[in-house]
Formats: sequence, structure tokens, C-alpha cells
Amino acid sequence: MGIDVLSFSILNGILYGMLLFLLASGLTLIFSMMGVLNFAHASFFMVGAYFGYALSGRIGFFPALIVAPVLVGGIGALVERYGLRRVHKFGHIGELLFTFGVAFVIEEAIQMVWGRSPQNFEVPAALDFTAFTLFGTGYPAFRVFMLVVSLLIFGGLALLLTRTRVGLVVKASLTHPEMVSMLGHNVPLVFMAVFGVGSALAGIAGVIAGPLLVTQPSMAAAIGPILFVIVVVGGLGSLSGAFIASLLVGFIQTFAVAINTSVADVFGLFGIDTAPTFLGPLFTDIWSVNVAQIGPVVPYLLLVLILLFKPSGLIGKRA
Amino acid sequence: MANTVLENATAAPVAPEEPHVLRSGETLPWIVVLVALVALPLVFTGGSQISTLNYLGVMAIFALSYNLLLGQTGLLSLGHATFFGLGGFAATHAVLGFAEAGVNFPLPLIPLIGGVVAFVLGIFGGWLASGRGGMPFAMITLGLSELVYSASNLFPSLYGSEEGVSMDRMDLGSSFGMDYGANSHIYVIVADCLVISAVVLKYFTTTPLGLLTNAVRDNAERVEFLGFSARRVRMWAFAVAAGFAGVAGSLAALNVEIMTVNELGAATSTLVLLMTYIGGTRTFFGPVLGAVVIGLMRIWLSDITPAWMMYFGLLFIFVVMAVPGGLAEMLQGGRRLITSGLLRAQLRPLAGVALAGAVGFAGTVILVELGYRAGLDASLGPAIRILGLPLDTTRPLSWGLGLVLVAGGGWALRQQLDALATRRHALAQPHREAVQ
Repeated sequence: MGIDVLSFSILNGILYGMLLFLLASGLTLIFSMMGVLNFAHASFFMVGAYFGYALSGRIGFFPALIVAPVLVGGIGALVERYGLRRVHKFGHIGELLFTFGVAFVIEEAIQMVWGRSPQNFEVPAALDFTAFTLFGTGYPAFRVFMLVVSLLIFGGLALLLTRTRVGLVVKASLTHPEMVSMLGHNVPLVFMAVFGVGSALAGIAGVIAGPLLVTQPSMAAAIGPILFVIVVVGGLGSLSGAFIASLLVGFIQTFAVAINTSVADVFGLFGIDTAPTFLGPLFTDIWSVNVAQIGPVVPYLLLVLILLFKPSGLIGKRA
Repeated sequence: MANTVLENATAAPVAPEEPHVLRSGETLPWIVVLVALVALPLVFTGGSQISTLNYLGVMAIFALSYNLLLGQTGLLSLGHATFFGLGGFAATHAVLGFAEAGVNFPLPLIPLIGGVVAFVLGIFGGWLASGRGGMPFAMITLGLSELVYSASNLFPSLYGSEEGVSMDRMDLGSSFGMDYGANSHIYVIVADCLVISAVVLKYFTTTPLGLLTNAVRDNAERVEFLGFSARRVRMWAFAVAAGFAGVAGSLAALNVEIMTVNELGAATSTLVLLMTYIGGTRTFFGPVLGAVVIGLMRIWLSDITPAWMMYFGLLFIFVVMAVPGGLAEMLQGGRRLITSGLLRAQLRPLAGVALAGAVGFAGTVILVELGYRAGLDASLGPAIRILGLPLDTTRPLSWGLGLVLVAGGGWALRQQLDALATRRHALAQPHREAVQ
């Protein structure tokens, strides 16, 4: 692998990792609040992409980047207020099942409105140029824009949570809801707001990822399990853990695509060129596997390894 | 490891109420299931109809095994299809292997092979997943299932390529007087497996381990304080459930003679979750009811409307929010109501509830169908006949009708439910005084 491929893979890895973190941060916040992972989170991401697509055709991409997440956040807040809060009495399993059902219905509703085929969500003309050229290959400005937006939101969220009074109330409501309530804050409202903001973050991720990843009804199902891997690997409820795990998974997935080596190639280095047939057909399968094929498997393998050796996750406080 | 769990369990103080395999009131579902299993193939004799019955039976076993986790142990698994699929692939490869070796292995015993393979894999999967219950368990099963699914394309010799692995169930020759060419021969295997699985799973609930699974569901911490390992209880429950899922998967493979990797994907896991929960997790036969209802809806509804998946989703959310006991508990409630002798006194508010519910339901159907015609099926033109009404996606009146019915039905349902609650409260008063 040359230095050019390496540097582009690093850039893309950071980009994909930051995108994943935009999603994982909202998921983690909602988890620390309710003790429930929101299965519909990836669906809000998808709704964001579709709203972004529909709105940018009418009011332009940049207004859509504001309006679509607000709408998604509103939907999220409604789901919390009139759905999750009502099933709370049935316990965590009830809440999990409810968000699962919401994810199911959202996927169907998306297909109902926009059909089953992918949408042609194009990169806005204002950002459709080459930002810089590295080793003779151009890097699209839209990717730089995505990176900047993700970093801004990451910075803003960190400042909001650690440096402001709002952040203080939110963090206190996560750990000591009764006490915060005694002090005169409306804790249910805080929960609804956190759920709404978390959904809106997923919506932003959807709008900026829509043109790059394909905007289609299966995008939620494709990214959802990866998100859960990130949250578990990073440590449930840990924002910094989610950050590290997001980048890790981002790098794993981009590098797997960039490296085109198969098991046979590795053995070829030692002068073994044909698969030893006496080990059976399964071994012949493994022989012809290349890294790009392993790419989608690695995050889940990482999950199993983490569960085996460090069940609390990378930065988890509790097992 | 199993021994310690079982020994600990037998040493525990005996529960105040000795568990019976069959309590009164629980015999009716058994009779219904047995009669249905005998009567259905006599009524529906066509080859494809028998194949449908086979499918329903397979799903019933699958859902029963899933409820061992969800209903009995309180574990939400999002990867149960992994064992359904792996069991099915094991069975397929067993048939292919025996056929190649020329061994005349009796076909009805093939599900046993799939079940044992899935059970052994389930021990390993359960060991990984069962450290904690609740949410982490759901995450881990999801991850494990995605791992198996995404790794499946690395092993084309095991899972086949995109078209899957097919086999011929007649290759093993005939046994027990059947050659297994006809679907009805497979029905005999499916029906027997369903009865055996139900009896074994029912018996399992009365064993010390089975009782411990309930305890782990209700209060895992307290179980730990009593000296049991909640993790081991979860692990064995997981393995047993996986084994029966493997039996179901093997039967599915025998029924359609082909296995594809889709069988172990997220869609199949979702399906069994919907079936089990909608049917009812709190009663033993709830999952069977759910498997039959959802299985039939999947076959019939998909012919009638493009929105059938949407109705599944909405029905699921409705059950989660309003009737967590599922359809089975609704039926039980109805039966209790009839036997209580108070039905006549509540007839008016009950009719009100039914009417308001029907209005709201009609409105939902109108909106959903209009939505599908306006979006996904826009090429079919704006005019559509829903519930006998000539509607049009371009006319605001059509949408308005749907909205009015949903809003009006919802509002009326609330009023009627309040009225029903008041009536029931009033009916319960003299009874309470009499008791005191």
C-alpha cells in the first residue's frame, strides 16, 4: 500500500468515524438517560437523509441541513412523549420492543412515501469541487465539509455538556433524576429534549451522509448494528468510549476496503501457492478470502472479543 | 456445569405450590392444538395447502422456542434466527452427506441432528451472551447474529453462494412406510415434532432449571443471592431455545428443500419476535397462536395489500403499548368475561369500545392505503377502492375522511374505555363487600 492510499484511507477513516460518532453520541446520551438503547436511532438517521433529500430539492441543501434535523428532532420528541413514556411502566424490555416497532414502522413509512429504490441525493453544487490535491488525487470538498460539520457538532456538544448550566442539568438528570426534580427542574421535559436532540443529531448525520452513502430504505438496517457494536465496544453510556470506538470502526472499515490482500497472497509470500486440498472445502474457502470481504465481519468480531476479554467495553464503568 | 445448576436447584426449598405439568384451564389449548393438527390436513388436502400448514407448524416450533427466552427467562434475543438457520444448514448437509455415503438414515430423525448442532452452538452463544440480561443481552445477540450472517459469505462451500444449498429429501430413501415425496409426509414429521417440542418445552418449565429461568426473569439479583448463577441459567435456557430453533430450521429445510443465508438473517429474527410477542409471551401457547396468525397474514395479506408489512409494524406497536399479554391474553380475557356471568351488565360499554375501535381501525386502514397509493404505488393511478369506498389520493376529502375516523375513533375509544372501567368498578363493589 502506497503512501497515497494510506493518507486517503486515514482521511476517509476519520470521516466515517466522525459520522458514526454523530450517531453514536445521540444513542449514548439517550442510553445513559433511559437505560435503553434506541433501536429507532438509525431510522432517524435515515429519515434525516430522506428529509434532506426532499427539502434540498425545494429550499436548497443548506436550509435543508437546518430544517430536516429540526423536523427529525420533533418526531423524536413526539415518540418519547407519546410512546416511550407510556411503555416505561412495562420495563426495559417493553421500551426496547417499542423502539424496535418504531424502527420497523419508519422503514415501512419511508418505502410508502419514497418507494423501494435508492434516491438520487446529489452533492450540492456549491460543494461539488475538489478541495485539495494530494499525491495527484483530488479530495472532494463535500467530504471536507462533512468532516468540518461533524467536528463542529462534536466540539459544540462537548462544550454544551461540560461548560454550560444546561449541560449540568442534563448530566445531573441522567444520574440523579429525583434530586434534580426536587430542585425545581422539569426532568421529563429534559428527557424529552435529550431524546429530541439525540434524534436531531442523527438527522444531521443523515442529511450530510445522504449524498455520500446511498439514500435508500435499507440504510438504517445497514448502519444500525454497527452503531450498537460501537456503543458496546466503547462501553455502554460512555461518550469518550463511543468516540474511540467510532474512529476504530471507521478505520477498520475504510482500511479493509483499501487493502486488497487475500489469505492466499499471504501464503504466497512463503512460497505456498495452492490451497492444501487435504484440509477440506472449508479451508479452500478461507484460502480465497480477501481483506475486503473480511471488512464487514471485523466489527462484530471485535464485539465478541471485547465481550470475552473486557465486558465493560473500552471505557465502561460497569460490566 | 449443568449438574451444578440442577443440583443447586433441587437443593432449594420447594415452591409453596407444587408445579403441575397441566393446570386446569391450560388443557383447552392442548386439545385445540391436537385437534387442529389432526383435522387441518383432512380439510386442506392440496399440495401447496399442506406446504403452508408445514410452514405454520415450523413457525410454531420456532416461536415456542423463542418464548423460552422472551417470555420465560425475560431475555430479548435479536439473533434467534441464527440457530434456526444453522440448524437448517446442518440438516441440509446431513441429508446431502448421508445420501452421498449411501446411508439409509431415516428422514424424520434429521431434525434431531439440526437440533443437536444448534444446541451445541447455542451453549457457546449463550455463554458469550448471557453475562447480563436485558439490554446488553439484546445487543450481544444482535452482534453475534450479524457476525454469523456477515461471515456467511466467506464460506460458500458451507452456505452455498447466493442461491443457497438445495437437497432432495427423497435421497435418503423411505422409512416408516413413507418415501417423503409428498408434502403430507413432511406434515407428519412437522406435526409430530410440534407435539414433541411442545411437550418437552412444557415439561422444561416444570423442571428446577425451568423454574429458575422464571426467577431470573423476575429478579436476577435475588437469584444470585440465593447461590445460583444467573448467567448459567440464562446460558442453558439459551442453548435449549437454540436447540428447538434448530429443529424448526431443519423442518423448514425439509419442507422447501433449500436453505439460503436469508434464513439466518435479521429479517427472520424480527419475524419470530413479532410472532411470539403478538401471540403472547405470558401464556405457553401464545407463540403458537402468533405464529399461525402472523404466518397466515403474511401469506394472505400480502396478496391483498402492499401495506402488509406496515400493518405488522402497527399491530406490534399496538400490542406493545396496549396489550402486552398479546392475542392469547385477549382471548383469555374474553373467556373469563363470558364465564364470569358479568357479560350482560357490561355489554353496552363493551359494544361502545368495539365500535370506537372499529372506527379508528377503519380510519387507519384508509390512511395507510391512501399513503401507499400516493407514494409507492402512484403508478396505479389516484383512484382506489378501500373498504368498499371509492376514494382518490388527489382529493383532500379522502384524506380528511381517514383523519376524522382516526381522530374520532381514538377520542371515542378513550371515552368508552373510561365508561367500561367505571362500569367494572361498580360491578366489583358488591362483590368486594360480600368478601369482607
